[in-house]
Amino acid sequence: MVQALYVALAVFIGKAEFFIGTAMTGRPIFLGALVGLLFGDLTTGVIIGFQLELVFMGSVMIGAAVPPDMIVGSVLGTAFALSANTGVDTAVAIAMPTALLSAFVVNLFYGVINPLIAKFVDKYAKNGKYKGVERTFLGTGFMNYIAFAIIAFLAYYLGNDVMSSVVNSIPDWLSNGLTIAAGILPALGFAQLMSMILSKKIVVFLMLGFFLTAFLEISAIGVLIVALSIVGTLLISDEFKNKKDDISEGDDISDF
Amino acid sequence: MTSNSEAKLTKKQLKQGFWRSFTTSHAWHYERQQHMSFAYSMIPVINKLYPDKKDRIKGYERHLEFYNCQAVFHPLIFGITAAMEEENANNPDFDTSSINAMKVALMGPLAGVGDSLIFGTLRLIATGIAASFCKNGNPLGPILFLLIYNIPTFSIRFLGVKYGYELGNDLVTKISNSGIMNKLMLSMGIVGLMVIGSMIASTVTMATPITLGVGESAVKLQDSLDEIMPSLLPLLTTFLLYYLNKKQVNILFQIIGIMVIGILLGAIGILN
Repeated sequence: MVQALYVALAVFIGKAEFFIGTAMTGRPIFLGALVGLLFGDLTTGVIIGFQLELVFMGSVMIGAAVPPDMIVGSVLGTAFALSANTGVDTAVAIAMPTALLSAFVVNLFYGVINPLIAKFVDKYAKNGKYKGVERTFLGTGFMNYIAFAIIAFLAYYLGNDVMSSVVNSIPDWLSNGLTIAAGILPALGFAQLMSMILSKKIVVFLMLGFFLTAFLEISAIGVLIVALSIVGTLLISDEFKNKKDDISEGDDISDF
Repeated sequence: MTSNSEAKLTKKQLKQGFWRSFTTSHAWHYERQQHMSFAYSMIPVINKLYPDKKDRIKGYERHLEFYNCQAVFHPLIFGITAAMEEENANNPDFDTSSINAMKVALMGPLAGVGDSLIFGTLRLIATGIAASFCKNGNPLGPILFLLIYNIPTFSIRFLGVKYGYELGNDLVTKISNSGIMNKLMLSMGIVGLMVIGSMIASTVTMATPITLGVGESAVKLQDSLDEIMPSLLPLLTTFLLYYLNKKQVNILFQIIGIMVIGILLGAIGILN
């Protein structure tokens, strides 16, 4: 019961990131740690949260595309894995399907309920009642978050016994396969990020970052420092070049 | 040109707009997306600038129209819009429709920049730095993740309102003419891709248990692959998925596909 309340709280905090500037409190890397903290096993929570973060790497709301609901997914995944005392493969096995299911509810809010409420907001605006606009707006958002918190509460409260027995009866080949899939899934996230920023001109830097870690085993922080050095060098060389232009062309260089 | 009682915004409305702009995707929906949040951030501005109720209502309705942009740039667009509303309140010749025209013109490009720089690159850098702590279960990881993401974005928000309001409409033309935007995109692209490359090598895990030959001469295929290049399989897989993304294959199919393939290849002993 207490754990189910913790689950609801974690989902609420995750969902409420939209109220605090999309501050990434809905990412599994944070939620896993939060659930771990609440369940009294912070270390395992952090580890599971990070693995789920990799799995949901590409789950970002870009434009109007609604991805799997990683918030409900990762909270329930971590919570069940911690209470059943099992590993990352369990967390993934539960997180992915719940995230997909929960995305339907997300779509119910985004596609039906919130647009209908927006009509009331229009009516308030038309009558000049700006306080009504503000209250309805704030209330609608929190209603969304609370609805998901309740769903997660029920899923955990009612499903815990069933889930633990299901989790314990997962055959080896399946949990083995899910571990393999969990290892591959981050690649999908990177592929999605690449399709946003990759171009032929700069593909060589992707390879450089890869080689630095694959061959020389340099950590991400090390690669970041090398990357910043390269960018710095490029900017300086750009400045040298511009100075030459200044001399040859004289005036008419736009300044800022 | 201007009447004696010039309508002027004070720091108070800008501050309110700044804090209210944190709610960008609150109560999001498909039809008009973040419109309620944008109107919410504009309400103090409208109320301050227009004493007449009819003008106010027009203002509320103006900002309840479609709006969608990356959350971090909400304060910037708010700042510019506030400056334009101020101009509109004082100058009867001002073309009111240009306010929403400007919003529409800005939200697309800024959303693109924001998605790749903020959600893509910055979030990834934060994850990459947190990674080495998280792997050992060190709670410093998630904390660092939140700090590395939120300190720069908070600064962008703050500067967004400040410069957005001060420079108004000119800001955008200034930035796009100076070439700063291109340099920033390219620089962040380089940093982002290097971190992605590094993380492909460190976080995507694939290995095969296949052995070639029998008895004494048996060679583990994975050892041979590692000799060619460590993490070769993860790299190839990432590029395959990149190709599928470029072909716009549904992400859901890709996720389910990876699950099924993982289970199948595990069951027949090609991967472990």
